[in-house]
Amino acid sequence: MTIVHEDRNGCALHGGVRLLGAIGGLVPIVHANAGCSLGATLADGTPSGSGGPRYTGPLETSSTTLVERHVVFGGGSRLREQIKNTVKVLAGDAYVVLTGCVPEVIGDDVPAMVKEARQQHFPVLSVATPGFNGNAYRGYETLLNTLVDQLPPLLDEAAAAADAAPDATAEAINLLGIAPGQDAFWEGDLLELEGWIGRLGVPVRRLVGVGQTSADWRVLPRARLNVVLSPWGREAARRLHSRHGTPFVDFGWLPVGSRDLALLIGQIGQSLGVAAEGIAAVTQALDVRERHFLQKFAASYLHHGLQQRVAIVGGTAYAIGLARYLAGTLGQTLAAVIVTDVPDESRRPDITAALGGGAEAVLFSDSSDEIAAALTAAAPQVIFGSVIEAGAARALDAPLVITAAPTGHSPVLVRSYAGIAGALALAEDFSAAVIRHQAAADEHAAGTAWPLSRRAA
Amino acid sequence: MGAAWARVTGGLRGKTAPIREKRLGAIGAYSGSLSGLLQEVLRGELKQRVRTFAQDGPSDLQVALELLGTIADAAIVVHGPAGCAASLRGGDAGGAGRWLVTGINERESILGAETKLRQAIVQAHRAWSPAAIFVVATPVVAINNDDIETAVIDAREELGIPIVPVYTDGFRSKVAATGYDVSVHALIKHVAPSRPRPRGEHINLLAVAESRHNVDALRGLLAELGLDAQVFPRYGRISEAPQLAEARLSVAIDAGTAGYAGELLEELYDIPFLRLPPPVGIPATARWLDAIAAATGRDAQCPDLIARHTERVAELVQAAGALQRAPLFINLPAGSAFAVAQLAHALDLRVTGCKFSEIGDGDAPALATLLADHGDLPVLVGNGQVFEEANLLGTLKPALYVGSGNRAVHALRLGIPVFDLARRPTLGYAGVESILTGLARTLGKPALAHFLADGGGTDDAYTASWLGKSTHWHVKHESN
Repeated sequence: MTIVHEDRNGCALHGGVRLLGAIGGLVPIVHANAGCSLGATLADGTPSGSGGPRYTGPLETSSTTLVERHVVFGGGSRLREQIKNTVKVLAGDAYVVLTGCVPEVIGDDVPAMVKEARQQHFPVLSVATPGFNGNAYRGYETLLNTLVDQLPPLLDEAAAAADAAPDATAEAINLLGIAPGQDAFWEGDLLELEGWIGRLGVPVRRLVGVGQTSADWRVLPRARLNVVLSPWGREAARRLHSRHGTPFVDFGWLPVGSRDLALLIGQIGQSLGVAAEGIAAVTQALDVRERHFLQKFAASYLHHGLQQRVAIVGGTAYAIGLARYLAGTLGQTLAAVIVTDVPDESRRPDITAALGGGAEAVLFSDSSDEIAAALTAAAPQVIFGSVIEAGAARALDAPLVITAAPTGHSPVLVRSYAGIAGALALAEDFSAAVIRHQAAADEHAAGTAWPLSRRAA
Repeated sequence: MGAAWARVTGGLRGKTAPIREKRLGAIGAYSGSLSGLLQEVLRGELKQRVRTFAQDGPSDLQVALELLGTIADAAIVVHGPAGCAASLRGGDAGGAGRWLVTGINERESILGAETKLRQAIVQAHRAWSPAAIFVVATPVVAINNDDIETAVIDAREELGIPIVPVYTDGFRSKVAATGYDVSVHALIKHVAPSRPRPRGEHINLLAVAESRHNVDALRGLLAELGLDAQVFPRYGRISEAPQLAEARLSVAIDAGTAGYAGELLEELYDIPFLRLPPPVGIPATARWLDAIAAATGRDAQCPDLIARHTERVAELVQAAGALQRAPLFINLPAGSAFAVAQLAHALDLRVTGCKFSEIGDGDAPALATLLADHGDLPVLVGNGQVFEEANLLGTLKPALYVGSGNRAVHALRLGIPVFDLARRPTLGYAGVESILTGLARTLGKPALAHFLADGGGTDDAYTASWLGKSTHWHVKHESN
């Protein structure tokens, strides 16, 4: 990893804590010194409400909070104690030990502790998520892979002991790849997609967010299809394919607007063997909905000159999704697209290709100095990105639309930029930002012009 | 800016500050009665305890970053994996944006990353031309023994500005506030003048945790006394460091959290350090002003000033009568908690439970006053550890939870109206006004708390078995 100015992606442990915080009944047990989970729950997580309602609220994550003596003598027995007591204090269906850097450096035998807990019939598994292994997207991916491999059998085992049958619908479409918290608008976006994809007649499992619990994960291997919305969900889909034969659609980004959503729904429908008319019925409905509102948008579009040079800064799923919609539907010029989630080198040609050659500049970077320099060089009129881009936006006198984490002073509960409602919200937020900016410029001009015109009179 | 790092003076001789457990006898874990805690402190037998179940809370690292991020003309290099710097994205430090992280990977976590650290320091210098650069250590580099010292010395020579090593490690102390001391130690050792300087007219107003509202409120009051206050270290500037040694007096806003700075400045420059309880409420603010006026020969102006402000807020105090006897739970750092409890007593509010981030040997008088004012109470000591509160609050059922920022979020989720002190002035007369109007508003409009409570609260996170147990179940004496 290189030196990062104003890092926005946190570490693997944060990605793990955030994913678990988004799933009902899964309890993280952080094995690390104090403070390690706080980046997930307190940094940009608090205003975005991404700290889960349970287990991962601010200051609520179970943690071994290792101190010096554990660093010297090992933290294994402290972990044993913490597992045993977490099961007693925090109500959950399964418990996931996430290890931070310290136990990995000192070589704690975490699997041995987990094995011991399993022998006592505690539903526990562990994942190594030291911060030096990568950012929060990497942590999301690592945990996701482990969960799809190990969680369903673990939950089956626990349910067999309790004589409980699975209560979630097995026949469903799983959505993979949107990282809770790290992708700031994850919850609203997945809800929006669930609504539209569900019109194909097959239930959709978001796997994270409101109403999604361990029960959904227990039946996850029996899904009819996995849909991958970023590079970070691909490996899990591949594993589910090789182990359970579940087909997958590797869409690769977040569909924003009716064109991309229709594209996705077409791929899903084909994969599921839905009749062409059935697919067309859904995609036409998308189109009708979006068209209705963009007709209303036409007046603003003209009045305020809403055809601009824009730059987009965000993780792969959002950078591609927003870029394709802003350029392909709203007719904006893509001055720069900056991808911040550090995807593997091997994925980057696909990402650039998905932009359709429409961007004047494409950069992969997570460091604010490089990003600011690229923005300055691209000289966009509007920037879509995180609050970290605020400085560059000010320097360019360009309005900033917050579409990425950290969202700063713009709390996110269920706001969405995906699908149809999200695309229209994006059009609204984009136009509002431009119009406010124009109004401020007009006011400024009027303020300085007034004495002159008075003198002329 | 002298060669302060070459100085070998008592308290600064060490590489970093002593942990609060050693310096103040501080403990970070207790669950029991107020009277029991007071007895332990009075007998000088405050015991270190551990939790057999714990929830995450800040370490010295997060505390130090939060503080250092407020120093406007400096930059921060966090030496560690990227996640260690995450807390810089939130809080007061969020807007500064003058920080980077070395982002060490697995290989570097074993082999060291000194070259990268050197590059990072140069990058920070080039990017922001700061007056100083803090090099903040993290758990991984504390374990693998990266040679920060040499990198820092070399960079100092090369760049000609103070490069300040801040030896946080995340695990040495169980009391997160040690991070304030570690930061103060580093600042005074590497930025402050190396020897005493001629005395000026201003005073040092020492602050490590206070909001800008509070700092401004007190500076304003001191200005009315004709005193110019230089705030250190929070919201301070490296360029103001020379004046630090020229002050005629140091006053800590909260001697519990910022005491280390006062002691060091007294030792190094013979600047008298006045230890006062935080000025929360009318009597405490008057005592605070009186003491400072007496120490600076401004006794004459003081009574008028106090009378003028007291009269101004009198009407509000009258109106506060409507709040009478409402039961409160307080969760704050000790100094603030004691001060708020005294204010509550003056307003005839009942404190029915209290939580402190830490308690130390010096807290006996304040604990005794709390006992005298409110009777015996259940008391918790801990940072975070929400599970104990969830257990206790279910029994106490307070009408109001007085807390600060993230420490209070769970209470609102449980359906208890929260009076959050983080975003308002709480000190001086501005604090009295803000607290009284805020209290009335919070108690008068508990709609959101009630809505959340009607759903049974969201905290089905805790097992029924835990909620039925004694609160102190997971707090045990530390075995050696």
